[in-house]
Amino acid sequence: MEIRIEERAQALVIRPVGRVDSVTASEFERVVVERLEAGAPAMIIDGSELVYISSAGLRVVLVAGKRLRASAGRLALCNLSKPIREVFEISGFASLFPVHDDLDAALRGLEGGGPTA
Amino acid sequence: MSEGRTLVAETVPAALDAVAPLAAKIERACDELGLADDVAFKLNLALDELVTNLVTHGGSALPVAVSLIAHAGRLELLIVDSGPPFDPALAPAPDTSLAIEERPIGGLGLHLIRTLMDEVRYSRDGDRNRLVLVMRT
Repeated sequence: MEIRIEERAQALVIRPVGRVDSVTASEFERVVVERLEAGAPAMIIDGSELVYISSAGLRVVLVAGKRLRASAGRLALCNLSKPIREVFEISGFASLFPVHDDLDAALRGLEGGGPTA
Repeated sequence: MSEGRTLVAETVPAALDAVAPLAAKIERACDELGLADDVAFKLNLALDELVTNLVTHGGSALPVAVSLIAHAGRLELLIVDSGPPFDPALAPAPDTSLAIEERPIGGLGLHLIRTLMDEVRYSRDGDRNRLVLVMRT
């Protein structure tokens, strides 16, 4: 797994590339927490290059969502493949965080003051 | 009942890094059968969660025998290990309706297995756990 990061005006975009599993989730968590501690007010997890996520990765998403919630920040997701989206739905995360079809929609969602993380 | 055709049969140590190479083999086998991508995804997720669970609950480094068997209309993933007795069906389901502040961290792995698989059959066979995960194809 590799993580690409893009700073946009509305949010920090985190794009994990490859597999987020029990082995790689700790690196994913390290990067996400480091950015949150640096003060990112909003975060979008872009799944366009994510091929797999297990509960170890979902845990990191929840940790990020909880931290952002505590600081009145926001978390959104976008570009999730069909099985990954299903995993988010089964976990109940699709009702905790806005899930958008693409990055533009996620960025617009943050501007529009949609549901908070 | 037919015997089925064994597509993958491997014994690996219960270790987190044993999962990805096995997942690649299961993916290839599903590809060769022309199955939709999400079949391999779900089987591999279930396998990953089980091995991770075994590693974190006293079964680290024990051998785990994994076989993928094709039957008419379904795939079965058979997982046999000598870890402590463990029936994933008995693990409590998380409350996925809680607000984010109340959601506990963790507890999702076994819920994913039970939800994504069409059938989960557990038996304790002597000193071994024997788990059959079924996906209809």
